[in-house]
Amino acid sequence: MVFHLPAGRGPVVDLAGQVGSLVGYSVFTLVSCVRTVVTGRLSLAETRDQALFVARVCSIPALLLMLPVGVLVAVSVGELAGRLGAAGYAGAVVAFVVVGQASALVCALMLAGVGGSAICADLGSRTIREEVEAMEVMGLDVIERLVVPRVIATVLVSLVMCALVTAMGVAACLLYQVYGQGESAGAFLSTLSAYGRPSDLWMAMLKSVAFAVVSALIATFKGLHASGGSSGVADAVNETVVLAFVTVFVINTALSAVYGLVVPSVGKF
Amino acid sequence: MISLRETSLRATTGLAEVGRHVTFAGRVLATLPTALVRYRRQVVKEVVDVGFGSTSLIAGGGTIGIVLAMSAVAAIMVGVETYRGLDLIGMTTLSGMLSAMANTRELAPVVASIALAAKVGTGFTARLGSMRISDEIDALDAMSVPTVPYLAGTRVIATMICIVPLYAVGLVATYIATRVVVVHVNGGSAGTYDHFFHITLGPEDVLYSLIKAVVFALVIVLVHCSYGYHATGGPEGVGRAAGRALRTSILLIGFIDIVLTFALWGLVPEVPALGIT
Repeated sequence: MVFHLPAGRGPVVDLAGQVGSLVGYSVFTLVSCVRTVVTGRLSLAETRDQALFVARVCSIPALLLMLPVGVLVAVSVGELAGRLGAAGYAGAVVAFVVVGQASALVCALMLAGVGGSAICADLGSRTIREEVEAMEVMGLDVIERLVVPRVIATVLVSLVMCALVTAMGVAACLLYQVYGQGESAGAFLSTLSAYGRPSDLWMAMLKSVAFAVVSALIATFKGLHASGGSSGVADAVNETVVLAFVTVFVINTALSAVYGLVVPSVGKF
Repeated sequence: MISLRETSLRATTGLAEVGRHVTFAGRVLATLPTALVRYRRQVVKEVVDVGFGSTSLIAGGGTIGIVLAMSAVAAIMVGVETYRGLDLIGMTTLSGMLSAMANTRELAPVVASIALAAKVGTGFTARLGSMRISDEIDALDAMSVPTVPYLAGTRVIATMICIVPLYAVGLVATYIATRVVVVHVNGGSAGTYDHFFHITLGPEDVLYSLIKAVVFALVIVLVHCSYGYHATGGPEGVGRAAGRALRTSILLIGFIDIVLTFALWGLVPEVPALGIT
């Protein structure tokens, strides 16, 4: 089932209509995800293909992007901590910044930007070729056949990628600290394990799952509502990327603020 | 199994693609004077397009809205995280210093560039890609309109004109957002915050961060125009090209950012005043 958007009457009405449809579509799709999995109707082959596809286009760029991010964190934040008289604190800063913020955001940028635009382009070109309508005419559930496998595949990939990217970021920081700045590896690792907690990593995982769900939902929504020929697909991809990035940033800030309140920091320096 | 022959073929194709994009960037830069002299009206049209955008309100109501929103939200995160981190070592008084440094040097240029790549960059890829697959670029070529300066050169100039005010808005938004979080939400002292903020923030820092933003913007426009100009494979191909262009430009922002940080502020970042060098 596809939500058909009302024709825009002025920007404000248009905005309200789009937001309402997107929220409705998201709730409907998430319920449909649960129902499809519980009743065992999930198309495993499609999910596997989509997961492999998203992993192939996203994982290498995400890992590459983590290299400069890790080095940058080590340089600016770690170095400053040292100059404030808290040299051994560098590992803890890395735990905060890389595990807590950077890894999930890097995953999200790649999932929303590269994976999301590919999903949107795929579904959008099917929509303008009226393949989606044809499926509906044949009585096939579009959400169940096309959308649910993509959402689940993106979530699976995001979990694996978040773990890989976190490891890569910490490794980049550690290597730069040891070989670039000649600090002790033991001090870095001991503050990392003293201040870093398993809950930081769980939070990063939770964040990247949230980002994956949001970007997959936005990409499939925009793809299924593409209209106006080939330039319509391209516009849909553009809107997908913008909307997904903004939403991801907002969700990240909200989750970080809540996490800081719910989970108290351990120890005092 | 992938045979050796296939692997080498793929590597060669990849290298050829990199070469094609670099050559395109070179051609765009070499023909910039032509674009500026002959297509001034087109430049003005693109400035309007870059600055305000033409899509609906749900995509943020124009580029300036996107840059503003993403910068502010990212800076709120900086406020929350630095306050939490500094609280551990009992140095929350230094939040203002960290805001002046982190926002100016790294966060504002990178976040504004990512917003620019998402909004303006993918828009360029989408526009040029749909022109390419509907043979409009070939039609322009047939009419002997020089497509590189007409389509890409004008967009480069327009973005260079727009980036300075756009980036200024983003930078101010980060300062305000971080201050609001530290002072009004976490209850830090406003006077202490402002004191450390002002003694840390030097005018050359703002200039350097503007240089960063301009370089990023140039790279973004060249990458996205090139992927759009060389798009193939129908509507789906254009969408995929937009994603690949975004991947390339974000990666390039990451690597160029670290090079520029080292080049502008040195291998060991210095903090003015405070006696911490």
